[in-house]
Amino acid sequence: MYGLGVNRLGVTNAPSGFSPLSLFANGEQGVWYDPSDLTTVFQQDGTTATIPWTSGDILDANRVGKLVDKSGNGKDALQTTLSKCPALKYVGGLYYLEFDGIDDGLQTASIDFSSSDAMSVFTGVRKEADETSVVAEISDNAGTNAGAFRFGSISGDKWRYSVRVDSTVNLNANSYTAPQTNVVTGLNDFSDPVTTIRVDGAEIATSANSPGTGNFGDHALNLGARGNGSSLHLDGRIYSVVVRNVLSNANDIALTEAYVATKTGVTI
Amino acid sequence: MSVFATIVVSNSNKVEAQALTSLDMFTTEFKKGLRKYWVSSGNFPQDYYDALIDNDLVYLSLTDQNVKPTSGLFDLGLSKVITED
Repeated sequence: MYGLGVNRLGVTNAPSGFSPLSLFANGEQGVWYDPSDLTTVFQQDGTTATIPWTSGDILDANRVGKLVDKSGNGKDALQTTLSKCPALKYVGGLYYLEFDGIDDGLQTASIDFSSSDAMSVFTGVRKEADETSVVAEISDNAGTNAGAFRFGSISGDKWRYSVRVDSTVNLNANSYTAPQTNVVTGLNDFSDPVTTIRVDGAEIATSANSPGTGNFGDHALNLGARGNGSSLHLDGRIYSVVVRNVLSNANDIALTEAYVATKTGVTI
Repeated sequence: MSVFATIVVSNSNKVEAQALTSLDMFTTEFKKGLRKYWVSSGNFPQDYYDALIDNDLVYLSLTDQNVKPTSGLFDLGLSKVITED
């Protein structure tokens, strides 16, 4: 049995006082993106705070060219081509980045994940189409590069978390037909080995298949598309992203998923 | 100053369109029947948009901000080509 010991929690709100920043208190590598914190959202020129789009014209001021990393690791997600910038939207009391499914995407500088063979990826996400897309991926292709992961959708009704060293382990969460909004978590440890995908606070699938031996690599993190908006474009929304270069414990998983759920408007 | 649009160029005009704008644009392939097209969608710098129009490189342009670009393209018979390496 390779479950991580966290099941459906029955909580609807993150416990007061919890901040994802605490997940990085011991110097953990990773990122935390929060589009609802407008002090961290900038236009493509990198200088002016973005204005959320609610109605009317879509302007430069609604387009996001920089999303500041709140983890303390300084790995901001960027897009320097104006037409490839996602839109910041505010609907129903929730902020999110809307990716157009055509050319939008963000990318960080390289992040050195090589000190660990484990990863925890927490996302609040919506897909508008059942097609292959990237929500978050390190490297320009996690299907071929060692020490990489990809989380996204695939054709049909599936979310997928994939990890790779020498070979690829794909874990699917089925029966999530678009349009679909979920809190999706991918967890893995290469050496255990264990790979898990969770949806809305519940473990959906886990595998003990080994992708090989080694650590994660020194790769850029891509959001909303592969390779800085080059392919596998997400037609959908990103509400929240937390990536940690460790295998989170049960308490951290529960707290982080509850936090992401509040940002995403999902009850778990 | 920018212009919001979804711009489609034919395969034969892709290189010239990129020369007038950026190699980072018109990198997403769509198809309609057997024909191949390249699409960029979002806010275009005014000079890029004007150059594409002035040089007659635009196969079609969608500017209605109330219609999702992917839906508008689908309604016109254009489907996204998804290649997972």
